[in-house]
Amino acid sequence: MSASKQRRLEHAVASIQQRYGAQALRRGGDLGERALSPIATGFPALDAITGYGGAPLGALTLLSGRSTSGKLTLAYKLLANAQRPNGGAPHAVGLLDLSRTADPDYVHRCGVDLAHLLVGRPAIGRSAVNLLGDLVQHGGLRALVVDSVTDLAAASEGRRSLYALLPRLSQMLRTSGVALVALDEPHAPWLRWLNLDASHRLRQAAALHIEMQREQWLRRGGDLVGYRAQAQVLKRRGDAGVRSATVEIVFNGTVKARETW
Amino acid sequence: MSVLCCRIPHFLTVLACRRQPAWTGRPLALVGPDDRIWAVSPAAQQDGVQAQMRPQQAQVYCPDVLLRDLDLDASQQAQADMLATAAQWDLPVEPLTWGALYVDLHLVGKSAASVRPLAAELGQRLRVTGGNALQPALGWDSGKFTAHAAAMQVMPGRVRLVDKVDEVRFLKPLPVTLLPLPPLHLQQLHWLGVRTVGQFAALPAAAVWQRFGAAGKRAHRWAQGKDDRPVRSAAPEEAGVTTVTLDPPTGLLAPVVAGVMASLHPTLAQWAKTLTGLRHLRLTLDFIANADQSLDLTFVEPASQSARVQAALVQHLTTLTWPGAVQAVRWQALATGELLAPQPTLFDLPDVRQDTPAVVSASLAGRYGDVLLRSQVVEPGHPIAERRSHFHALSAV
Repeated sequence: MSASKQRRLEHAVASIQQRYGAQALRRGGDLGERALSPIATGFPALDAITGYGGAPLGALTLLSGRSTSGKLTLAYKLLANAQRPNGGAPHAVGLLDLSRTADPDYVHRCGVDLAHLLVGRPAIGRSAVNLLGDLVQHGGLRALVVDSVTDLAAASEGRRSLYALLPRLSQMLRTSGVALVALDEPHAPWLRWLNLDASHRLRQAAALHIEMQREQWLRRGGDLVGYRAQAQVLKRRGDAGVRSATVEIVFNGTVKARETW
Repeated sequence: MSVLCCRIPHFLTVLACRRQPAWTGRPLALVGPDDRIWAVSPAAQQDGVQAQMRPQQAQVYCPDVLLRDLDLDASQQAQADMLATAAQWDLPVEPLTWGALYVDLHLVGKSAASVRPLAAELGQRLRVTGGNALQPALGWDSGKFTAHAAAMQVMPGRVRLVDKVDEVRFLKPLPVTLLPLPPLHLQQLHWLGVRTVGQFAALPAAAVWQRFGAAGKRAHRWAQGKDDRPVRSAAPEEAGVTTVTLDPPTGLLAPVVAGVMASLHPTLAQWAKTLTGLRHLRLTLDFIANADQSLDLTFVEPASQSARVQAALVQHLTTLTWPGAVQAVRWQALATGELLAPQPTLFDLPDVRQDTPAVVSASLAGRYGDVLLRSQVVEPGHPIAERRSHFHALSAV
């Protein structure tokens, strides 16, 4: 490029930045990696295979699995880690408890500071989807857990609203920087062909998809103390291969991780 | 009215780089006496660092950022030199913020043709005083808001003159964030799809007043090019002293802060309606041991939000040595200034807010009611889940 063209280009870039802000137009080389750190899951082995180092901020993470697979505990651990102060007051986080099964005692034992946890219990349907959109757009929360997608899309009007929200959701998340974690049940592939799989569009929009499967119960001296679960990363940044890690969840709220991949 | 706005972008960081040339071109953030960032260089701003952040927050956005203490005395001296240069014409000069001021030209020029040579001369004088690094950007119009907007739209070393007939056309495409409205109001406008000054100006005045109050009404007039605020000279303002008596005297921080804020809050609310904020506050603590201690609170930008003033108050009072219990506190607002838009941009910046659940809930309560709750563990480990914990509406906590 000639010197005069280069000068004109630099002047044009400077004028646009002057008028619309420093972030309006930037060189590709200046972008680099976003400096915001991800939220750790609490399981170092799982963090290592997500491709982000945890749950990404400003994106959707989908946690699927059957009951007692450990997805809820993993979500609570994410909330606890999202609250960690970064040189200031703890961050506020949210839990959209559509299934109305949240137990604050267990949430607290997973390390969540209840004083900085906002629990939303709206009516299932369109208002729940609208509340989800507004909480994301507000940007005051650092992480938001939706329990669960099944309840969110239970009514037909809720499903329609969710489908209408999804195209805008990625942009809203990027803008607000909120880490959105949605809990879901596993679905058989053939359900989609019968139009019974309400969450397949959510799986497409997710930046990270982790599926939890319980492997075995943990016993100590005849007492049931917890369970071991397999966390499979079905969708992640970088490559399309499936990776897995084993995590151990103990009922008193402490969690351990074991590297097996 | 004929107002010339003179603005030197990144005034404080340019001054710092002039003293330390090794900092030039690097992401730089200057930390003020309140342990908050007061000024940010363009390189750091591109990475998302903003004024009023804590240094730790800035490092999250830009790990390479140079965090240096602001040389307040040198900066104030440079600001005073700039004001003195502009005041050489014996025209009213009003400081706006660091490196920015208004000059009232209605006595010497009311048309673009007559103002252009005056603006060029002022620019030259400032370049001679401050050097080539401190190039001013100049904007002129019949009102302060449009003149400031014009100065923000041009490159340093240039002048933008806006005729009265072009005012509305000039303001129309500018971002609505140019208006110094509270963040919540700007967010509501964002939700409503109002992105430009022109869209805001086109809203019905009654609806704006109803939703955004007196501050919104005033900003709406500015957006329509109707800004009749006079340029006030830089002479110190006469301000009354307000005394807060603490009965009984106390040596605790919380009652002292609560007393001062209760007395200060109505004044701040009144200023917020006129889009004005507190720039300089003098506080005198009267101890029972017949000892008075004064402290001055200077804000990098005028503040009208109680939370910000309270945070600064707590920061200063905790660093003070208290010889005994406090029986009275006197406060005096030494200087006020108009509120400034944080960043005129159509593009969203990284969010630096750390809202509490109560703030999030309050902002959504009007639409959803009490569906946002706070949980509390009452009897940990109780076998019945309903006995273990409670959910409260946040308004009830």
